[in-house]
Amino acid sequence: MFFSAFSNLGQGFGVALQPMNLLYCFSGVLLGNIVGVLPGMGVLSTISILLPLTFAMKPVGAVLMIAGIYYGAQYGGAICSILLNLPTHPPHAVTCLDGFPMTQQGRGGAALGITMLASFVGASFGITEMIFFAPVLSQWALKFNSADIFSLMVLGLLAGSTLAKGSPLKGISMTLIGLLVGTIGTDVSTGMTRFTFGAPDLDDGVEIVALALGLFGLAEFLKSINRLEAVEARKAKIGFRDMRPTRAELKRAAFPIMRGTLIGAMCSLIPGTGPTIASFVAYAAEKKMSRTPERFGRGMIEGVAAPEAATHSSVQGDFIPTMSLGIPGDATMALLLGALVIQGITPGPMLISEHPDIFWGLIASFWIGNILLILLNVPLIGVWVRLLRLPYKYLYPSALFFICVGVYSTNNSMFEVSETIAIGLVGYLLVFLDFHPAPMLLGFILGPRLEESFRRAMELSGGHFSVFVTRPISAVFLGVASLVILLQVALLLLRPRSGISNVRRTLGSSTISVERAKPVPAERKT
Amino acid sequence: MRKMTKILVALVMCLFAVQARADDYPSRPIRLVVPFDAGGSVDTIARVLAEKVRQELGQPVIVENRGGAGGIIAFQEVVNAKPDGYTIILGASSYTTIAALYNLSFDPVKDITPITLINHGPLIITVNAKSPVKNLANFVQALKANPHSMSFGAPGVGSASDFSAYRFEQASGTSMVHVPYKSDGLVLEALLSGEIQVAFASGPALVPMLTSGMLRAVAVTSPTPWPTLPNLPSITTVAPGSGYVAWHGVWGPAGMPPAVVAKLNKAFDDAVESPDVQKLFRTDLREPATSTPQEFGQVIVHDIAQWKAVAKQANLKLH
Repeated sequence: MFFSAFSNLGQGFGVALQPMNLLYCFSGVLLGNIVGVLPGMGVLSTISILLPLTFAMKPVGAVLMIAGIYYGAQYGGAICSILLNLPTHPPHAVTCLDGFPMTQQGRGGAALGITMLASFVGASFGITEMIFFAPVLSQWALKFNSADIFSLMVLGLLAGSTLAKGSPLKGISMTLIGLLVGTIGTDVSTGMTRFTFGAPDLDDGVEIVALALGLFGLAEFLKSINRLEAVEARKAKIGFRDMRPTRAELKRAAFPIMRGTLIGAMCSLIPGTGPTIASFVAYAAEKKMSRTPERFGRGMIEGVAAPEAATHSSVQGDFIPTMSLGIPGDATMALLLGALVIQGITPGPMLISEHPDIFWGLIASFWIGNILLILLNVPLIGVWVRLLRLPYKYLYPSALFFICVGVYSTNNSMFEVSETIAIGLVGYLLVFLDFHPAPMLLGFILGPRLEESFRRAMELSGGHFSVFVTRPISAVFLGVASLVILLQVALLLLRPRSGISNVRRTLGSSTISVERAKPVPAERKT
Repeated sequence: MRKMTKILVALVMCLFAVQARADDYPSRPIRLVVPFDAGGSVDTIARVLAEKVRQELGQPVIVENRGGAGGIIAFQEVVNAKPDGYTIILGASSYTTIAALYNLSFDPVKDITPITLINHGPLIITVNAKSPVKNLANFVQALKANPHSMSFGAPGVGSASDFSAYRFEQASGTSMVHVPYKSDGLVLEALLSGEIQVAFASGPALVPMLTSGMLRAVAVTSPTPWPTLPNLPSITTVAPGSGYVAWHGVWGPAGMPPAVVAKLNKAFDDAVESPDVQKLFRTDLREPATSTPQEFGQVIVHDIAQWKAVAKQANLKLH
């Protein structure tokens, strides 16, 4: 199996390296990269606009180009998150948490460098996974049913509870608000609408792009309005010599990149998850494993590396169910399959054997595309960072304009633009009161899946709660979840006194760490 | 300045007045609304047809995705649009299930101008390849012996597939557990994983799974066996009167000039004749269909009435 994979891959490179296909791959990733950087264009709208162009192309070229736009956009997506706190694509919302503080400390260029490295490693793993295990893995993914997904979501929420910085109570309340916001819209189990107040625009729930851009981008924008001087001062700190990550930073990022890659690879295989959940889980895992969790959210390179690696590994892995089952994982994948159908090729379990040129050509083009993206982006880091030199009065209003266009283009809906503005105002209030938006976004993403899979599991089992423990996969997840809770409780109970002093020490060290974090860029300049 | 504005307004009005005349139609791009997100079979069909109709009418046909609320947002937008033929919609039979279930802000029959049917096809009653159910007789027998012993996966409460299954149960005296999912794709995944036992399926992902032997087709919902699937019996043999054929069609707001309707009807009917369009339909197990606007209108009226009766009997109520 392994040897045939290699010879097939060789054949794939033969296809992907044909000059025309190479050109399509290049134009795809270039376009995707631009779309990813600009908050104003969604991947989905770009591909749907270009779809008629592919009618006249050969199927391989069409697929390479569309796929290139899809993963190319992920490379660009991190740039605005890190430099402007604008998560133009939801998976990169987590990257804001530590990426933007790094920019404020003048290390934005280094964060971008690490991001590119993490992206490439993550994507490479995702591609390798696809080469060797695509058919096996798609079978494995089908073993998950609703009860298992419910238990996995429980574990995810638990892991996510560590996302909060500051008061745990505030973190929990934000997660709960996120869960509640997630219930807005049509309830899948009954078809009834909840909390829509009769507005059909809310029938499908709150748009995730609106929520992410409102909570992070817009709230940040409102926050900076009254602090112009602070922003100008921050800008001055960006030194061009600081563009490359230091050796120490590379060393610190190495393991988070590997862990993030693995988490992303797992998430791409479990139905109902995907890049956004992968990046959240990767961040939470890093924070949980870190010896200095209190420093997360203040510009930790680990907090940028792990989620970015997870996103990219998951994005490439997402092609597995799409290509091997013919069932699209999301709307963009549906368009990719649509392009194949228009070309007269039926995607599905027989695609790999019937059209090896398409499947293996696509995989080979992934490698080529990712290398092209690295070549494109690394020299451009300096240009992106220079963006911050633009006067604040031009930069933010234009970003705001692109936010509006971007939100509008996701569903051609004006309603969602006002939704973003409303969320931004609420988000500003929350940030002002020291509530952090990340746990809310996590609750919003996991909540609906948690509820849907719980109710479906109940419907299928005839109302027996035992399904959650009798199914092995589900039992394992729940077991791990209860172990985590027990450990936390045990730690508190066994060492009641040191527990308190621990808190004190943490608080103490966090203030120290902030003081310590600040002089770093200054040291480097000398 | 004000005079200038007035002149401009007058000029623009003249332009519109000219455009409203049917012999000049179409003199500017036509907006083809699709009540679903980009990707997916209706969107794909719309994009291919838009290209063909552009060649026929000589004006660009711009596909606009207005997904959301099962299409209600798009339906509303088209009903409120100017009936000049520049805003039309390519929708599916889900229009009639929604019209039967929801209190809409418009009249689903009187507030639209039917233009033409595009294609039609049955839903396929499908089970996992490992299922003990081998054929239709088997299936009904198993359900009669143990009511509620099988879970039926529906792509949403009140979808055509959901309704069609209720109708089958009512007519055959059987019952299944209805388990709603968010999309057709998720229903197929659940069927493959064995989480559900049966689906009334359609869509491009289905055919390769049937031919590769992962899933097994048991029957079709059309009143008679479907021409391209001669080996599958119709469900009407065990559930009389429960035949159902899903369709795609084009309509616009009420009050469109008949000449414009005729022009669009011809343009779409011609587009459907082209071999590559027909090939595209067949990946979805559908056959091209043409109709007069009146015939299409009758299909809509008939389907809505039929689903209302099913909903009443199954005690389905939303909103």
